Amino acid sequence: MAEQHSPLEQFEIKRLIPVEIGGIDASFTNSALWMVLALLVVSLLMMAAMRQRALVPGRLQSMAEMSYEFVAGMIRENVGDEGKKYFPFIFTLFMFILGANLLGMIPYSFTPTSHIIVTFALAFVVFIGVTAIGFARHGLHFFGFFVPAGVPKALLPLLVVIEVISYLIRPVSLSVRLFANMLAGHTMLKVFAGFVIALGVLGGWAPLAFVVALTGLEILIAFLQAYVFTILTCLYLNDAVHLHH
Amino acid sequence: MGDDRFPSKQRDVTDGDRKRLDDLDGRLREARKGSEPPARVSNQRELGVAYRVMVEMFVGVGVGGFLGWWLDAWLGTAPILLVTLILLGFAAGGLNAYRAIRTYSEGVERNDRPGG
Repeated sequence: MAEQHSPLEQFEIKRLIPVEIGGIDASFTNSALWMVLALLVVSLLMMAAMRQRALVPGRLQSMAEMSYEFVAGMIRENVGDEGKKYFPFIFTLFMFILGANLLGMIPYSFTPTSHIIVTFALAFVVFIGVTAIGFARHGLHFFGFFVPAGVPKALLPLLVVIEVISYLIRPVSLSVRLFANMLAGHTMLKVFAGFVIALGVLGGWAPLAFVVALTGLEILIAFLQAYVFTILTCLYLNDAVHLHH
Repeated sequence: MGDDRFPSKQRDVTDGDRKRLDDLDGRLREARKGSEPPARVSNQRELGVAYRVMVEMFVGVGVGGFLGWWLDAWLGTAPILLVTLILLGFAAGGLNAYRAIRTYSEGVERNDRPGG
């Protein structure tokens, strides 16, 4: 179609309900809409799945139980028993990212996780939360986290600075990973879909096959990146709870 | 012929042997109890680690550079802190990358030993 301009058009933010609070643009955008949708779909799915509470689960219920087991196992393995009380947050995080990623695979939808500000906000919440947990559990001992053991005294100031920077990098690398994956994947899909039109009926079949394969890969990546984000949250939580790298 | 030999060999197994085999089975089960079955997606996991290392290195330099630029603008020391913090950011990114690889290889050693 001539009106389809660019493969990046899918990432455009559109104001659906313009809102302005104290000079700050707080409009309800398409990004916000799809985040709300992800939240609704996940919540409704979970509630519908667990409504019957059967001893022998049906399809929907076993899906909910599998998600539960998956996240619970991840926390058990990476954080241990102390991680149990953080399960609700980590489960919500996983399901929200997964929901947003998967809803983004629907044609004409919007992928909020392809915007760095969204993923950075998520990562920053994790960062602040994990740091707060570290201080709450260990008090000022938490600063010991930045002092590597068994290092000559002369090198210590340098290494402490490096440790602090490597700690500050975490939320950025966490968010960049998720956002870059979603951005690159969705752009690639649109680019190859453009080739289908450009090459016409004769030559368009090869890119079409590629788009089909790529769609499968993108669905896999939607799962994988939700998993990676969650498991890194677990690892960071483990660092804060147990104070070692 | 092969069919003949196999059952005869089984008949030779004494009660003591059987007991030891059962014992071994029990111990194997005991040893496997703690560890999850090896992940089937190990190839994707490797790709994931490679990608993580790459992001970690880039972001290290980026965050170091941003911190340096910001502190320079604040303290008026341009470009000393920018240069220093880019280097330190590179080191910090390397450290994070190293930790990512170490976590991964520890996981591989723990999970993939039984049966590969």
